[in-house]
Amino acid sequence: MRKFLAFGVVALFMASLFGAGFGMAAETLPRDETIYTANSAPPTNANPFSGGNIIGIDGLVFEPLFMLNFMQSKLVPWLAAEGKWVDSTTYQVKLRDGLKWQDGQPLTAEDVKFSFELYQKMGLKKYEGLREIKVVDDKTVQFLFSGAPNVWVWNQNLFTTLIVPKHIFQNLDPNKLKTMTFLGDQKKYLVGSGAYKLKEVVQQQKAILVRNDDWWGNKYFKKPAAKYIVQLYVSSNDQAVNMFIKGDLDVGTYYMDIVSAKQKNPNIVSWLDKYPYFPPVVPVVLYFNTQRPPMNQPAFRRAIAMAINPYQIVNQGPISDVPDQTPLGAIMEPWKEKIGVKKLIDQYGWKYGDIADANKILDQLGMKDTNGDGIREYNGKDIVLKFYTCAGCSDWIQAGEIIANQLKAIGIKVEIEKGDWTNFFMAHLNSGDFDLALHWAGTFKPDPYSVYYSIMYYKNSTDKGSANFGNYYNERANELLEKLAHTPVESEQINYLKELTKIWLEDVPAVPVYMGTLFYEANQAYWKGWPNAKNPYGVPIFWPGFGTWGTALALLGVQPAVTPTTTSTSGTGTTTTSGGSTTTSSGSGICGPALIVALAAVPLFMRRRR
Amino acid sequence: MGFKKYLALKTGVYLITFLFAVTLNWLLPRLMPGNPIEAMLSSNLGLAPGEKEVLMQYYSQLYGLDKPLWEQFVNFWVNLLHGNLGYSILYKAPVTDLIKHALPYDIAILLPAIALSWIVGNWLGAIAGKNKRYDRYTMPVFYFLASMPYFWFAMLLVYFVGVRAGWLPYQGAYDPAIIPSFSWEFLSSFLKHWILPFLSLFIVMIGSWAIGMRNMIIYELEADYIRYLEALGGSEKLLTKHAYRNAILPQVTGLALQLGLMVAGAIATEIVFNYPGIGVLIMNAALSQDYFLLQGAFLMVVISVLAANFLIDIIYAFIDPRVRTSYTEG
Repeated sequence: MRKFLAFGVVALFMASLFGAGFGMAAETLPRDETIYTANSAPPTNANPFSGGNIIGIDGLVFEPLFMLNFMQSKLVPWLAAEGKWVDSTTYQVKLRDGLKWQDGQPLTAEDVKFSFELYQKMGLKKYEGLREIKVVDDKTVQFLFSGAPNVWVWNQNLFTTLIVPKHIFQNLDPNKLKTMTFLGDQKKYLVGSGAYKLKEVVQQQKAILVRNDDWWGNKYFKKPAAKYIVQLYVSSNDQAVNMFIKGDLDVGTYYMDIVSAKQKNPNIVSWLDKYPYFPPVVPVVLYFNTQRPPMNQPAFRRAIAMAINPYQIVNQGPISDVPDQTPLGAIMEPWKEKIGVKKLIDQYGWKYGDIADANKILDQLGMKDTNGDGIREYNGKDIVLKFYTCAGCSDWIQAGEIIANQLKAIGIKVEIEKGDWTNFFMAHLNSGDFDLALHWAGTFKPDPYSVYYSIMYYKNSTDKGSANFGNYYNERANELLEKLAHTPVESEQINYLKELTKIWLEDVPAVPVYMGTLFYEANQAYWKGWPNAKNPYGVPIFWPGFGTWGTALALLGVQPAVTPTTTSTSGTGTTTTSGGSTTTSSGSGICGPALIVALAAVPLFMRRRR
Repeated sequence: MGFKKYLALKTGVYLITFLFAVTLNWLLPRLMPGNPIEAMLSSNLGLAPGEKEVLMQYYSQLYGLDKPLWEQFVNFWVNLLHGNLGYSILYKAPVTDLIKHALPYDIAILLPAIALSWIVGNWLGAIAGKNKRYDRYTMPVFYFLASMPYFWFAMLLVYFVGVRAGWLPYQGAYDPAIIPSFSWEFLSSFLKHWILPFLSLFIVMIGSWAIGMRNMIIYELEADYIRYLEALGGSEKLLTKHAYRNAILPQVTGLALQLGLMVAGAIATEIVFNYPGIGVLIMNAALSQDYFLLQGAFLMVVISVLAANFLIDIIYAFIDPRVRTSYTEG
């Protein structure tokens, strides 16, 4: 009886095991022709529209008219050879020569028109003011607007709208498209124009892209070096660190102690070759609830800005860099130079860590400590500010504690409140129920307009910038943003941005406290030439959905570190690349578990009759 | 006749339980504070000005969350009866697909771990119950095993067997360079990756089964019928046989519940070994309020727990004559 049971269990197990992998071709990918990346969410969907979770579906398989290089805040012509405003309401795109789909059909202006209209039909995008899309000839499309559109939003549409083949997608119901995964039987619709095709998705485990050797771009750009790009599902940082150290992962966006990782594996590189190593991108800003007294007074906000010392935060707090006083990040350096940010800061800015002057301002405002408890009073009450953050955001908590200390020096007490992200932190921010909070949702934007808009625009409680948590309101800023939105002329844009920066520095809607970094690590053992600060040709964000932000540019730009040797793809010799030493010491490999089993069997021999 | 009535009664009770449990599974996630669509979009960094509102509308419509709650409830049952579990908010894929691809890996680990630990645990426990000397030094071990968290033992295995000794791979279900296939290469890689997660569950589970069995055996060996049998001169083998049969009954119930809960996955093991499976899916679904995946996953749990219990009810009628007679004669 017991034997039968055991046998049945083993049989069931074997059956389920075979069931899991049944019906797929046997293949091992050669290590030196494959880029391994990873994501903390499993690949389950290759839908180019509704944000699938496979890296490169946007950018490598399907392509936009322009790519964004987020690290430089600039657009890179891709399918488009050029795009310009021929007048204030007409945007014209000229496509490159020789564009074609992966099935050999030519990619024409009709496809562009179809794609933009499809996004609209699905309800995924509303191109504000777009009246008509006119196909002038095979290579020219004109977007006709009724009135001058928001040029910045339009620029974002240029790299977030993917061009899909009309001859395939016109047969699909736009409503069904919303929930299609494009895996399994639906994979046949996944005909893009890009440098890679989706080879296979092992559901919830990995996605494999294979190079499209017949790519139109070989003529314009370098032919991509990697034959395969594999996206693994690695949910924990610790696992990712182990895999990087062992060399199983080539590139990824995971938090790790990069200094110690580099010691263990010198092939690991990141954006900078010195501290903080990780790419500093945009500042994390300290929001004030500008509708609550005393934070509704610009002078009070300025005093707090002066009391904050970013150098101390960078030294003792999260991995970061020192920000300047504007919300424009390190990625917007070209813009900042044109705006003349340095001069504006000298003229209108403050000095960080200037306790004496901060105290002076607060004294002038009449907020004095009359009862001698070390805390200033405002209208007879102690100034106690509540700093809200999320319980898992250790970097923000760290920074918050340092800020609380720094503000203690000017007689302001800060209490830190923690909770979960959605229902506590974001709920408090969105309802304006907080005093202070850190966030970078407003600064992580591809252009300066979007930064200022999301933090400073305010019409009413529903019509406001998406990251204007403090409900900052300034009529002049609204006006400037309105004008800035509708002018494609750069000199005018710069003038408006100058004034917005000036308002920012004088009014202090929020204070940049440190330059937040992205996590980025790459392994040079198999692939070299990863983008870095000296050569920022691509973007170090290896998350799904950022392909056209420049991840695709990065993956297309790497070069093999070793000259590829031809390995047979079906041989048995190339089995184990991970598990490193497993192959060498497999003789003793069975010993460990066997020992444990043997220990469990000891009682057998101990058995004695009663 | 009696047995048929017994079956009918049980089926009725299980059907009501099923309806009630599934309704609760539908309702509870929706009573959580917050809006999953809003949460999804608020963590999406790459949105252009004004895009959030457009997407809010798009996703609310897509998931039918813009409709009143009663209509959502009706739609849920209509879809369920059509075999449609919905479309996951978090993973953007049909829930059936997600479960179908994750579950086999859990079963491959959990079924052998539960079944073998049950057999081995009962056997070791039975020996401990009979043999005092053996009992004295194995019980602390059993208690130690039973009170040990799965994830902790798993991490020990990863560190000592995987990292330090390098004997076995400890990450993923098979080598990352292999595409799953019905080949020797894949199977051997799969088996190598299977050993550590299996052991991490198997060894820890042994403890609690053994403790339960040992206590039952001691209790049964003291029972009057055994003493009577002993007085009649029954052999030790006979005594043990009778005691064992009675002692195993509660353990069978425990086994059924464990097997029923198998479809909820082994979250800790999956995380530590980066093993694909449904546990992590459910955890993430709960964290991001993915109503549809939660409903689907818990539906599986409800079905399998009920099925296991139903099965046990029937098996009991066969293996426990007392249950059988109470129904056939009553």
